[in-house]
Amino acid sequence: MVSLWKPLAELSSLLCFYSGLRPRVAPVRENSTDQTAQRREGRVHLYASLYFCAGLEEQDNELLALEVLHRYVELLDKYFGNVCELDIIFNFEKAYFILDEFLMGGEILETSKVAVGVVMEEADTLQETMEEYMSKPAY
Amino acid sequence: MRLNSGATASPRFFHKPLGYVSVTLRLRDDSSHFLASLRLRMPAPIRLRELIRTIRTARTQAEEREMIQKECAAIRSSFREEDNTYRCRNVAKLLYMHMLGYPAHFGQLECLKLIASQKFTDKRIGYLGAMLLLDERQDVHLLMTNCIKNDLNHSTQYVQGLALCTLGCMGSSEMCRDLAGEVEKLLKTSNSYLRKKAALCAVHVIRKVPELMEMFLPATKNLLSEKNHGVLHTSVVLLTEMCERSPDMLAHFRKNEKLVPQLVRILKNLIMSGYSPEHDVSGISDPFLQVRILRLLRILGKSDDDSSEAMNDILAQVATNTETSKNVGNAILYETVLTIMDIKSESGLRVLAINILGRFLLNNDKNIRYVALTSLLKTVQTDHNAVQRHRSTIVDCLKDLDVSIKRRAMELSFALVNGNNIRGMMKELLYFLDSCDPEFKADCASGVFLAAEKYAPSKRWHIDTIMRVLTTAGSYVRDDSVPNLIQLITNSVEMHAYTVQRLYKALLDDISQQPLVQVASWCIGEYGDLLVSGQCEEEEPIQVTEDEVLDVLEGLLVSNLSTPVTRGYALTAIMKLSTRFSSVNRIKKVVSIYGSSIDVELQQRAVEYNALFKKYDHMRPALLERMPIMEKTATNGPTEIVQTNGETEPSAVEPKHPPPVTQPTNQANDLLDLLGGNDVVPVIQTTMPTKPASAGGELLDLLGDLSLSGGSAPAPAPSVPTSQPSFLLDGLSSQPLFNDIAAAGIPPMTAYNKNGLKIDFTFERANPNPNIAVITIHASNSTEAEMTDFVFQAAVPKTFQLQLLSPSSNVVPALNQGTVTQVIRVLNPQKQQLRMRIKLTYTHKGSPVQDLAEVNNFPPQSWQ
Repeated sequence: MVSLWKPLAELSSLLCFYSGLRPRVAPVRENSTDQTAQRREGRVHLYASLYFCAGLEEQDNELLALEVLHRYVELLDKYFGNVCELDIIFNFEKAYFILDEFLMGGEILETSKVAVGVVMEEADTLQETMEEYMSKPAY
Repeated sequence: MRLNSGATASPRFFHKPLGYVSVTLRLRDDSSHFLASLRLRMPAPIRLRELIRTIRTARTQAEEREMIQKECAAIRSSFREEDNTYRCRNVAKLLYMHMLGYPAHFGQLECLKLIASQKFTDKRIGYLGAMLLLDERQDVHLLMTNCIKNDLNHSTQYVQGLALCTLGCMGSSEMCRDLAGEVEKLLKTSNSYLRKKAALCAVHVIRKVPELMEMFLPATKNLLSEKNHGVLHTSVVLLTEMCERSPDMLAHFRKNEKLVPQLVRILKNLIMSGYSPEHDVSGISDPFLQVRILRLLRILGKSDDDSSEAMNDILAQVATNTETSKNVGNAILYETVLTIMDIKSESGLRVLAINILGRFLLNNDKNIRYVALTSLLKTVQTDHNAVQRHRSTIVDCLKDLDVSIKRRAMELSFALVNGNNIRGMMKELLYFLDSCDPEFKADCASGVFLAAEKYAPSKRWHIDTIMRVLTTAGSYVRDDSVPNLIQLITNSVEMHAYTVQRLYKALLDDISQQPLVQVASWCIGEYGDLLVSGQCEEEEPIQVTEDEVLDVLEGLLVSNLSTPVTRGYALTAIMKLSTRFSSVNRIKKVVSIYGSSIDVELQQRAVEYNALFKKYDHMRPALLERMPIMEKTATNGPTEIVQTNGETEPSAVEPKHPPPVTQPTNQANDLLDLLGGNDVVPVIQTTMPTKPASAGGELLDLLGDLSLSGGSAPAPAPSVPTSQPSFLLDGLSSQPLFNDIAAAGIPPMTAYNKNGLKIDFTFERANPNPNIAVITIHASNSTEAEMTDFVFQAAVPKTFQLQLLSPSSNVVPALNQGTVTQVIRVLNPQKQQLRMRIKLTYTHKGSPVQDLAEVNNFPPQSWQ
């Protein structure tokens, strides 16, 4: 899997500069060398000015993968409100958090559009204010 | 929660740089005073969004690198100071820089410290950092295990969620082993948020450590009775993973848990239920769950009749009721088709599935066409007839613009070719070959050759097709096609004249395509006499003179376009024409010129051919005569033609003969056993010499340092199929075989005449050694039925030595329509009276016949 990303990363260095985000929505973020990994396809999907790469296994449904990408963009849109490129550039960690509520280990975690939004809201409220942050112990 | 894009969105603490410093100044401790003074000197690390903004202003790569290096240095010193406050901010910045492609390994330990922190903000960034920067190859990752364990038991579900997520994305096998128990506990919780995460985490654990699968079995009992779609979906994924990995689990779920009815029920509810805004995608309710269930059904139904039966209805329902206007509907249909093809479905359902794929092929969306072609390729072997119905659509896809679609359409087209549609399909495929990209041409050419070989309706069509491929894609054909084609041409005896004429015409047009040129020059070498004599029946014969042919071949030798291999072919072809054409002097000249060629191969050939002209001129006709029909071995693999085709062996000068017919050797021994006599000498079988040059040596050894005479040279009588007895005679008539006149008039004799089988002997003397008698037997059959599997064996007294060469055929045609000939060489040094015992075996009218006879009536001249 790692080897798949490296050449793609080279390709997209220009894009990084442009959109500020290394364009990958990786359903499988695993970087380990999985000995049992089956044949994986890499696909580059153009979505407005975002580029998605998805690694698929042989038994995966390619058409559904397109739906997964679409659903993710919808979730981003709902969270940021009319999402644009800059949202993702400046809030990349949020993009990752949303991804982590939608997918895990390469599989879909939550199929409800509403649920992910609710979870993100609640988790955001848990993020401490300055006073709370300073008063809580580090370890 | 609506967030504005830009700087204000983040957690508020990011906003506080210098203001913080004033707070610490109020503390009176020595240490904090010291710390405060430190901080006065160093400004607070810049905010994340500040950094992003700055980096984006860089106009060149070098500028960006500089900024990042500066920031990295600041971050590193901040890490060294063990600064708890800004660690989160620094790691976030580091993650951004890591995403841009810069090294960030020094932040790994910091991530671990963040994870251990009590603050949610820290944990969130810490876990994200762990997932991005760490993997099981780094030793550091194991330090996380304890933190994750604690967080899995945290009071806040979102912290537990973070821990599960990290473990489920990048947990190594050691971590999974340690924490599997915790995950299993969470799988049984009533909290659906945690349950679904635990399910996917369990999937990861099973993938990493398959032995732990059993542990999760009890927890799966009630998973499917959940209402929450998230839990349902992840449960189906978990069950799929278990069933895929363990056949025992699969059997268990089929029988004990009765999974299939449960899944069918859930799927039915999904389809029948009304609109649910939460899960709706373009009018379809939760397509992700539907597809996952279909996939699990596929695994459960595979090779299992009962399960397949139970899901037939729901599959039919999904296949017919799903909306196909949007991609999501097609995704579900695609999965349904895959499931139908894999389980033991009834034929009606399978036809439905293939029709769906056929409809996909007509879709405008490239992705759907691609997916359809891939699936059809998988099913074409099993449901050949159903796929045939869509042949025209598939052939249309050959004209598509997309490369991957073209490739799949080509593969599928070749799979669909059969005896009925060969003509039409070949037309389309040849048109495709003309117009396709070079990357396809090699595969397409090989495919065309294979298909033509299997299903050619006539020899002429076959040769025409090959010609077409050679002329359009000649430089792309595979290397082994040249010998295959040569063999094919040799074996289509009646097409020789037509073939050589067409190839000659093609050569006149274009000499750049090497495979074409090689095949053409080989054919001209072999059948040049047919070309010049204008014997073509199939089409208008062209008028070609010998000089014109030699011009063309010499042209090949000097052309820059010819490769060394091609030049070798051309030279040998010219040489062969020396026995077929009359302009021998010209050929001699050409050959002698190349005797000093720089190319070693050409030089060697020319020198050896020169020797043929000078010292061994008597051997020349025999060595350069027509190639016999070659034995076919495998269609795909390297055939024996490679060794029999003289062109490919650098050391062989003369054309080689096919491998020896091994039959006679065994049977000679049988004969010996049978006759048992002590005065009978074993027959020495040297039939087809594989290297005539060394065979000459063998014969020489045998017969004691003799030179072969051209006239009575052993005729390498090929094994000809019965349908072409005329070729036999043609072939034989080209060399003086029955040199009765030259043999100083030894009268022929009838050795055997019984039951319609007559065997005549004709004699020659092997000059100059009078001790060798060359006897040719002629077997003829006057009955109405032919004699098949005809074998002639002979044995002679001890004082003689006998050599039996291979027969022309083992079928004696009926009603004296032809004869089988075989050559016997007898060495008679003591000049004793020649006697022979012969044994004949053949099959006549279905029953085997065997006979023994003694031949004593040899004319005295044959042995005196």
